[in-house]
Amino acid sequence: MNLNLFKRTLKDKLTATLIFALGLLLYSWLVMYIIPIYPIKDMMHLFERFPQEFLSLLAGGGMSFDIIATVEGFISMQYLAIWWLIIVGGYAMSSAIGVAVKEMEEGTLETLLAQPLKRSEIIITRFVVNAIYLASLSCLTMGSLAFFGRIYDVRLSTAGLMVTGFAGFLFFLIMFTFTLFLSLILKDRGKAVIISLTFFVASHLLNAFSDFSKNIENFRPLSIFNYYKPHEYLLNGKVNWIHTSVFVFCILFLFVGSLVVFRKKDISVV
Amino acid sequence: MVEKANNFAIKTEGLTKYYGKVRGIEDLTLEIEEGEVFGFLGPNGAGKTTSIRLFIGLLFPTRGSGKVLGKDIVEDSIEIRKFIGYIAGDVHLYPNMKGGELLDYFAAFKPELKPVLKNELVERFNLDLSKRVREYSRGNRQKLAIVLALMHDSPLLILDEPTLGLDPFMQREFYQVIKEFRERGKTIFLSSHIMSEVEKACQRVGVVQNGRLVAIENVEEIGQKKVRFMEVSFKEDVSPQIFDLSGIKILEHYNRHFRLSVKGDVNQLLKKLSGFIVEDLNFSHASLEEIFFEYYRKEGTDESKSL
Repeated sequence: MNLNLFKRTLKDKLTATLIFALGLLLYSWLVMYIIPIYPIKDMMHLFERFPQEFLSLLAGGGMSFDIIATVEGFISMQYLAIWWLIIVGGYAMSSAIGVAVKEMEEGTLETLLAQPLKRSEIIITRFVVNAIYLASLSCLTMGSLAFFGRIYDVRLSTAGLMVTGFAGFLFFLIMFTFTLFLSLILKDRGKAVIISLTFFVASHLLNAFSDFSKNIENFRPLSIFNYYKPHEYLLNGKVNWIHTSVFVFCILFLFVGSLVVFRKKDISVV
Repeated sequence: MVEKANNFAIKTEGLTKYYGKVRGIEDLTLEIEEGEVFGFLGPNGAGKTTSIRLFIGLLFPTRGSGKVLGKDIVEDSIEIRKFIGYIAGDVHLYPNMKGGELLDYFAAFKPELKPVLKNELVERFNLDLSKRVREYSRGNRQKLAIVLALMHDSPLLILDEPTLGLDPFMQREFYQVIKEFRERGKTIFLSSHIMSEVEKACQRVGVVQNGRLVAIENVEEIGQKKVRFMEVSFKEDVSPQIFDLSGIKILEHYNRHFRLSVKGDVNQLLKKLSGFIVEDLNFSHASLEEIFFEYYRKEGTDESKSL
């Protein structure tokens, strides 16, 4: 890891991260504000009229109507199962292309690599900076839910919030490393983002629609969303070690793969 | 400290780079001694930038090997980069950084060499470091890149088209700085497609063409090849056949005016001219640039390789 690059990357990403943080704060406020105003029981009457597939799309697969009717299930469906992933995942993916390929396309990577810096140092340092910011955004989300929960008298367990924040952080790191790996292979940020988006959308659809088709359900373990269940973490407050293992394995595989690909990549303005 | 093998700052053996099927550089075998100022000449796309990127480890060779400052260009590129100053052919700097911030940021990557020349170079190139890079003109960005490459007083400078975008005054200042580096015994590898640039600064010049190094010449020797140009205007009509002499070639001819290249002895030409009424006569040595273009005009012929 290179301290000079670390400080610079930290500084460069600060403004964008603060903007995302503000967005997350406002979203947390909105969700926690709604719960006491529109009691969940009342909302369930509305949800009953929605197509099941639509609810699955919002809540992810494997979430029953009874769970949606709980505060944890509601927060999960309205925020943590999809929208949180879209907001912070978007941040993670754009950060991933900023590690090397954006600079490769703009030509500044040549200037950076003309310095006595190992290629692995660039990847590791920028991975660490992004991991810090992703962890911060996860903590901030959970902290803001706890904070606004206290204000509006919506009780959530601290353990549940912590476990959800941890699972979310790992999920964001998967989105980050997946996009990083693709971007380094393709040397094209546009293609990397499009393929990553397609992968995660397809993965979500596979998980969401597995509830409705036996044929699709067999493939559910292939979906990364199958290992991310915020309502479950919020309700029982326990780390799911199977989910955690899958996440850690994917992150390590993609991260090491990125290092290997970048180590032997020709650098020139594309 | 940097090891130096056989006093060669740069030494390559059959260095080759292909981008898939596209040729970058082929069989580059080169020896540049410590303290030498070496010009690397060739038209755009000839393989100059590819060679430089191979030297500093931005590209990996398809085959062949190379050493810079005695270090292997593949295995030890980090060590190499500690001791070189580099200007890219197409300068790209971080647009949101201020000039001074950028210099400090890059200086921190090389704790082995302090940026001892930073203040002097900033002053000589008249740079305002308080501006952001995106606010700089093309020329000022180039000046910033020059300061960035030269401020550590590195033992080896690798400069790819370093004067692009500089005004003539700043070009002169740049060559003065290069001269001072040369006097301090630094090695300089200067890539350019402009012969006059190389003529000003270099001792030897390598000519690269279509991905191959086709000649290495001593700059002084090229100048001594006694290629001259003559422009002559006559007061009367003269047949071009009078110039059918050994070593004489008509480059241009309109009305009674001729432009000739003259190689070797000029006496037979002067004797011939004395039989006619000459209105005007201009006789000059060819610049290296003119010789260079002459060389490319004869691309691929045996004659060209004997430059």
